Amino acid sequence: MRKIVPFLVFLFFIVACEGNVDFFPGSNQAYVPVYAKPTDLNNIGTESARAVEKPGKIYVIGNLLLQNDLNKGVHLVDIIIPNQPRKIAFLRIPFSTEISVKNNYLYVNNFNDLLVFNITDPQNPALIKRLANVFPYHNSEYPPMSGVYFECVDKTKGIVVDWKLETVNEPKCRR
Amino acid sequence: MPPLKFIPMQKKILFAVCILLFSLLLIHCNKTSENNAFAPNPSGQGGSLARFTIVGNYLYAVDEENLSVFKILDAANPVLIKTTKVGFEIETIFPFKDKLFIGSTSVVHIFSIENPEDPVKLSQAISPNVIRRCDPVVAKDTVAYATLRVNGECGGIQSVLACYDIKNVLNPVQKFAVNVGEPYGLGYKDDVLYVCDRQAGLRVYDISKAYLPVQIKVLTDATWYIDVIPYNNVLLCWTNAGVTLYDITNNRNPVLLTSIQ
Repeated sequence: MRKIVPFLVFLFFIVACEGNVDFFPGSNQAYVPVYAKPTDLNNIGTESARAVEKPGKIYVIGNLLLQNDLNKGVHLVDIIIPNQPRKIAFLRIPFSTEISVKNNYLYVNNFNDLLVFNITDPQNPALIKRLANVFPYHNSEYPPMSGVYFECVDKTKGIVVDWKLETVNEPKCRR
Repeated sequence: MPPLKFIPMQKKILFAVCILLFSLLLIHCNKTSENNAFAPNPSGQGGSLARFTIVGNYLYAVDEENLSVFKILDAANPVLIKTTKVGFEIETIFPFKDKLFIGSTSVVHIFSIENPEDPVKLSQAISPNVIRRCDPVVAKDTVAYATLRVNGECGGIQSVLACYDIKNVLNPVQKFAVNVGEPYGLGYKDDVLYVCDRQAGLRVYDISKAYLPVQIKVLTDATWYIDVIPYNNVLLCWTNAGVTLYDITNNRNPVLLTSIQ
């Protein structure tokens, strides 16, 4: 009995401190950051129209519909005939998540930068301005979930652009 | 009216100028509405989950904690004017008259942009019984509608669609809340409110009684719905298929047009 009680007290403290997590958190489901190299930031260009991979935020102006492809760029679509939308082009912009338009100027984020494109000819958007470091990139420190383990971000590996749920041995971070 | 030759010269000139101005106005109005299937708006429209919004000659952007103001009087040359701290875990921004509604995981912050270069915090609307939620919000007249979601980073107990009385924006009052499974973006056309309930579908509510939304139907053409933009007679939905379009000529009865991937 005398040997058991200290062991039970020890167990109690382990459980109390760890809360509602696995009693033996050696190997656990945790979020792992997906990195991308900052050198890819300037890889901007116009491609022919293609299918969206990760459908993101939408914007509309006149007969032009725009959709962000999460962290990849902006799809431009002609919706003058709403039941026959026609894809015009894909504007490749790494780490883009937001869209806004005024007149013929498209504003998109590119990581921490704000870009301005002239889209008078939506088949050929032209990059005309970059404002560097005007806002911090969203969601790069921790996954967009609470009550989860995650692999701590190592900034030397690049910019965090996504999170994947995997089995991780002894994940060190939690939120 | 006396014959023209008897009217004093000044009055004739004034009359001629009025006719000229009126004609110019007619020509201008005709020009801006031709060749457009949709009504003209120099800044178009984004959804309720946006972090960027344009009001007049200014672009407002929110990141996790701050509101940045860019002057775009010269649209080709934005200039960063100011960055203001707003709060924590900021998610969305919605412009309403001379205000900005900024949604976060806990509260909706309301800012005045009476001076567009200097946003000033007026108040915040805290939903009762909320610990942490995600609040995309839209406002119509004196009512604000927000979806408060409890999954993931948002915490809380029950996801709802909430209605706030914003007659006095310094004191927003929650008037009503109805349980919704996993609500995301929302938008309205006249007396109909569209709410994305992710995998359950697109919920269509009658809001002719502003504080008492009544569900009319749920659309399930797409696998999941995240945000909507009601755009004249077309409802543009951000879905798993890219963008799904509905005809909302009858806003109570959206008719599926197509999806574009």
